[in-house]
Amino acid sequence: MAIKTISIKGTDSRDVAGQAKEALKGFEAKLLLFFASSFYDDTNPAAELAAAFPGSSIIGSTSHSEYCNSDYTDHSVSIMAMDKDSVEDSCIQVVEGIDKAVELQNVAKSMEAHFGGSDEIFNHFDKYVGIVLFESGAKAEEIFMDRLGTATDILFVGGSSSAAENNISRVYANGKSYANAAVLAVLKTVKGYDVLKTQSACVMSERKLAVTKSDLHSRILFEFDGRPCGEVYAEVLGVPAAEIQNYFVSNPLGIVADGEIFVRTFNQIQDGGITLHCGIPEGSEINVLKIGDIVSDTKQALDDKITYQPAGVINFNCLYRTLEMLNKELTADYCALWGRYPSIGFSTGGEAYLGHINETSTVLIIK
Amino acid sequence: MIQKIVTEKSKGNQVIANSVKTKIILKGIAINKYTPTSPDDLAVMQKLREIGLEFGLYV
Repeated sequence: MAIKTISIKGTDSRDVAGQAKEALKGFEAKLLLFFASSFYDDTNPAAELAAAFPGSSIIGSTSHSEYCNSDYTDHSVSIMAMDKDSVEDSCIQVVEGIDKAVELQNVAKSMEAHFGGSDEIFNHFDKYVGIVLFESGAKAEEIFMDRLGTATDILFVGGSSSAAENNISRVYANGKSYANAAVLAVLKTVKGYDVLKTQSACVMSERKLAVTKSDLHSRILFEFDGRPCGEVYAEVLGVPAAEIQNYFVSNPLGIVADGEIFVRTFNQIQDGGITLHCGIPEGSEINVLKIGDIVSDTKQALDDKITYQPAGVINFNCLYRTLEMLNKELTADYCALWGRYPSIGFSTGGEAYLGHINETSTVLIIK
Repeated sequence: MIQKIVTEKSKGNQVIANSVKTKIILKGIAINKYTPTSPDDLAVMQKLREIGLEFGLYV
């Protein structure tokens, strides 16, 4: 077996690591990926797992809620263990201080060098893939993903940490816990990988809106087509400008690239503009979207992409989507889709694939 | 300029070509708006030069 997935509830991180060691007895994990409820952070799950699995590379993130195979849980830890039959080698780096300008060229070069350099990766592009885990409090994912995408051709898939009631957000690598950081892992897979992005949103209006004034760093949108963005958004929806906040959840914005939608969700009206959960650079063209049916859209996307038995599937699913499914009592139907594969996931505070995305599920499929 | 960046960066790999196009769009260049016969937009051309340099290319 190349990949094993387990879900554990323990009294603390040591108890979780002990249960994981027992569940994975005889399985030689090269890489462990875990999503731990932030409930466990005060007992450092990364350190306890590192002690229990000294021969494994380990990365993870705090989570609001967790997925494992066909189960949705909270206050638990979902773990994916990958052995040499699925992941031949991996390279992990932690980038700290991501709320400031970070230089990623050397980080990318050093990760590529671990595998023999950029030519090796380019020539075996179908084998190398990256996982990125952001500590979400830094609110710097869009800038980071832009720089990472400039520095390397490796496709990075991932998400941002979330938190349970204690509101602690962390990412983990090799025994340590980090805030204001990103964990990067490049995997050399044995049989290759696929990447899937599904957002259960479609274009509501074909009218393209040009972003003419925005503050990318502060994630504030001011103008479309040289006019106040709220006014233009209301015009597209055909509703009074005073009511636009009622449509923020059902009608987010999207940048459409090669038929793929990159969702940007609204936060609130503020400082003469509208704050978003992902900044949009000036010059971009966006469409107003409408949210669809998460379960049926996800099923369609999974069935179209996964036409084989994968070794393992990792689901970075937006927390908004989790909450919406809980409200509509769709969680069991959604989880049944994932129970078809060895899979883990968590409710993310932002998703990553080529850029930073909102209200989306980004999925890494290991063949 | 857009095509030159995509072609030189992807070296014929279609998956990388598509990802480079998306990366350029997410940087704020609405590439579908432009064709080889589009009139020159100096601000966009400057931005594309900067993007090219970030990718290690002179365009």
